[in-house]
Amino acid sequence: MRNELENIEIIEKYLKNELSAEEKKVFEEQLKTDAKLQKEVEVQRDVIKGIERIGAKQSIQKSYKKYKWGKSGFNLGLGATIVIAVTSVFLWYNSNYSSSTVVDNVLPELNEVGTKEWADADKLIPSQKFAINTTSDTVIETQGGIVMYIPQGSFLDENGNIITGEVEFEVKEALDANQIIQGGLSSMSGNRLLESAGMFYVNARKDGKTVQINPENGIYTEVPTDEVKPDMQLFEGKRMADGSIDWINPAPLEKFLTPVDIHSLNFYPPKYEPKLAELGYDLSDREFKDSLYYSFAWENESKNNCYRITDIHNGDAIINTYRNNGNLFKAIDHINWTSHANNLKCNEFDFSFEINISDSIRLSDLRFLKSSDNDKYEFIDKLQLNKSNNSFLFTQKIKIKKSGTFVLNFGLKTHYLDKESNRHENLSFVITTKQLQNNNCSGPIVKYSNKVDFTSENDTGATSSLLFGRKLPYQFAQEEVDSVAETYDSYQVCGINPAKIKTIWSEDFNNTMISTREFEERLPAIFGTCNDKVLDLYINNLNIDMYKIDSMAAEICGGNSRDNFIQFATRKDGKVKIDDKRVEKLKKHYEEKQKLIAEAIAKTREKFEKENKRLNEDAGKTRAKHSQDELKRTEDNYVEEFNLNLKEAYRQLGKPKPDRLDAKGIYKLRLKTGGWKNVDAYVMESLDNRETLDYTDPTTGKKAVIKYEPISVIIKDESKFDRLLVYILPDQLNSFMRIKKENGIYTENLNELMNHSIVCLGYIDEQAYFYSLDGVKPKEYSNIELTSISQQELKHNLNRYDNKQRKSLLKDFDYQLFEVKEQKRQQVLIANQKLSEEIMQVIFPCSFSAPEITEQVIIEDDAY
Amino acid sequence: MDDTKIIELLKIGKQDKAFLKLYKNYPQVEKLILSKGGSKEDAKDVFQEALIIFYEKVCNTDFKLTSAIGTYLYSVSRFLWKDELIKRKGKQSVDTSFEFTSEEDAEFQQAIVREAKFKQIESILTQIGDKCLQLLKMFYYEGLSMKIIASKVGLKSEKIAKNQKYKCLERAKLKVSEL
Repeated sequence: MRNELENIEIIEKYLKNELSAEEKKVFEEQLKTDAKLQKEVEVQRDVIKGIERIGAKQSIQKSYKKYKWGKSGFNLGLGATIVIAVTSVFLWYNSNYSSSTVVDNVLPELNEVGTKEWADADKLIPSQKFAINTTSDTVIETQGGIVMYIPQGSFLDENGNIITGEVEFEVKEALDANQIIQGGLSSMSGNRLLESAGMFYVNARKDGKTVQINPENGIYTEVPTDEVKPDMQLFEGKRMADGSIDWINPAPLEKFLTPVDIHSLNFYPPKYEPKLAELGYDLSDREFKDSLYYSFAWENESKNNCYRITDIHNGDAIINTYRNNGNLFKAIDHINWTSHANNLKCNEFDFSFEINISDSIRLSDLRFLKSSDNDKYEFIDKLQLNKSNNSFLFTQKIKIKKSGTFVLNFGLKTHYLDKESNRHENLSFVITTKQLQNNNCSGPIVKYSNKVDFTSENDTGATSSLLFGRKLPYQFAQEEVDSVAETYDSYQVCGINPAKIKTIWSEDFNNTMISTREFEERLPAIFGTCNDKVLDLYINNLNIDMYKIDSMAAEICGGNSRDNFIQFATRKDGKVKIDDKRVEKLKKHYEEKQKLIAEAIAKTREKFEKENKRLNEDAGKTRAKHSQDELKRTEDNYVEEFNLNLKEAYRQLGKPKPDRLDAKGIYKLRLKTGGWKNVDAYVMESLDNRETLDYTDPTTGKKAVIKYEPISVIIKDESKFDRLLVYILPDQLNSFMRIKKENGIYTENLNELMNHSIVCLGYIDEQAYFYSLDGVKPKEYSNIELTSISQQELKHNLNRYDNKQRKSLLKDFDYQLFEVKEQKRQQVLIANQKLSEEIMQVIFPCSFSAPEITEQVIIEDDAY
Repeated sequence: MDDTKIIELLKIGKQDKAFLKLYKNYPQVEKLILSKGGSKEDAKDVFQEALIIFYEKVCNTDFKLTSAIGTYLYSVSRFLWKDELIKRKGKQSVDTSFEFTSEEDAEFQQAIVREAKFKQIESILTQIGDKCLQLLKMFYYEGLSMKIIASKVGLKSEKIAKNQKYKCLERAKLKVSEL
């Protein structure tokens, strides 16, 4: 950088106070002695000040123009401004009420049409003359208060070329009755008397010669009035031979609209806010209202060859069952299928079903066996399989090619744990699809389901086989199972895409027809059509008079909507002045922005759903782990108590305890019937039922008695808890027992061989409540009151129990807290789902009209 | 909108908006000027000058709001109009109802002298070329960053824009020192 420039930079820093303390000191020292530098600083300061002032003056000019325009619009009171586009040079305007540079009344030789004809009014009314610089926009105001906005390039020479340089602009006005009479004017049109709101004459000349007003721009003119009358028209004045003026060629006035700040308008669907209020939401929370409403946005896509699924039905589900000892076992004991319509594209959807496989069975293969109607659909990608524990989720992407009914056949190859036999299970689903009619709906296809879970009638077999995991001889039987899991229907959302509303309800559309009260008034009618195209009409035609768009809207609508728009059209609302470039830009912006918004919302929704899915899976895993642990715990308790009882029984009977007692694990069988009985069986039977053992040795006559006596626990205000658990801690066991509730009372039979404590844990929301009592007796404990407790204290309170018991309780407490939180999460999800359904009904009213009758399902091809 | 908000707007580069708000004080001034023998055009000019004086005052670092902005604008306008009348018709012809306190008198008189000086500077600054004027205005008046300015005026980098700014400043200084 050159030296001088560096100097300028330092001075600038000094002036802006950006020098460091040290630099500043040095600079100021130099400034004291250096007169040249003093001068430099001063000049630079003046330059910057001068620049700022130039900027400020331009701002003030701009503000003045705005003020002027805003003011005249406001004075007219109705929010509407009468603006007249003057496209002809000579206009006497019939309408009520100035700063010209020159006021004179010298008539030139020729009038605006090049003749020597002059009316009395021309002679009597003085001219106000304005010098207009045609290279910039000019606003003039006449003495009577007519304001004219003359855009740059508003005048043309005789060859139609835009004139540059100065033009003399002449105005004569007669705005009140007095002036009209003095000017020798009358308001006669032929033989009819007109009600005049004022008359004026304009003409522009360059070097004394009349020039044309550029018809492309026109001169926007505001004539002040105390009252806007809708029927006012613009008449042209014709000079008559007698010096009077006749008014001819009436033309309606353009009614320009006054834009307001777009954020002062309300673009929500008409019933949206009332519904929120009804549901008890705070309407002042704009962020909430926006995010809820816009969350319903969807991505638009081509609606050619779109299908929806009208029905999914099970065809034949042949499921092998096997029997053993009266227990019915099934390879598949749970089928649950759904179609994720949320993922639906125009003609693609995910078909998925979930099956639970009995624990004793392994799934070795799954495939599609046969497709009956290959012309109607095709598969996209491979079959997806997700496995968690015994549950398998199959998902297949299907593309519909033709509407109608087709059957999807799945073959499952299973084998049993004993590896002796492989079986095939066959599942088939009948799917009916229908091509979407070319309707006005542009929304996504949303499914609603009426889910009925199918559960096998005898699923205890699986559990018992797990608890007493002994190999049993299987006996097979085949049985047809009705596996209807879900009734299914779907509808297409009809309505205005919220993404479109979000696009237009922004500063981008300020100072356009969209940011007017008039547009706001039309929105309810637009929402009423549920037709995006109607909204598009208004946004894509920002440079067209609103009443013309109303007529277009009426054309594409039927019924009530049509009448609404016809009604609007009669109001003859105009437009907001806008240049064509901006119209094109906004059109493009509208097109692109709504896509971006819809995409962003779809992504957010996807992320949300993914997260939910993850949380659901995690919860499933936690629950599965818990039930496994629970099984193990119960089993251990059982063995421990059994050992205790058996030892005591042998003691009472005076018999030595058999050695095999120490070999744990072999008691894991439960005989319900049988021939041989011994003391073990009696002890087991007593424990199974938790009933008193009263056994007499048939040979010695000695008795073995172990008493089981009932305890019952009644909790005060039990119903206020969202979750309530009562535990019993028997001192000789490593874990706790859970007491079940029967008829509102927690009851259990206590083993007299042990001392017991009780622990109660309750939850209201996420707040824990606790109660504990040691040394309980078999009797009724009523009116037990739980007190609120922090999670930390809760854990601390368990310290007094035996280490193993404490650990198992802690584990269960953790699980209970997980359940509390998980249930809360589910409740929120359900509440959101409900809210969403309620809101959809008001924001997309057309989607919920009479449901379509679904086609009859015809099974054409038998499955497998 | 309250006065502090308007001052805030003036300081954060939203002068357009602030000035528009300040125009709500215009009718009062117009009425005054019209009643004292002026035209609407006069009223417009006087008010604009008053706005500039007010703006300068706000930009002054030690500015404090001591009266309502409306009151201030009104009294400045009154003073400006008195000054204008004296210029037009001579001191004797001005009606005695124009009374000012001595502080007001000193402050406003100073402002008028300053106005005259800067009118000259401003007209000379218009000779440095439109591009330079635009660039300087964006930086000093609109408070835009050099980066944004560079992209707005189509210069390749912030550095080039910065250098260009100093060159423009140099040119402007040369013109102004010739006064």
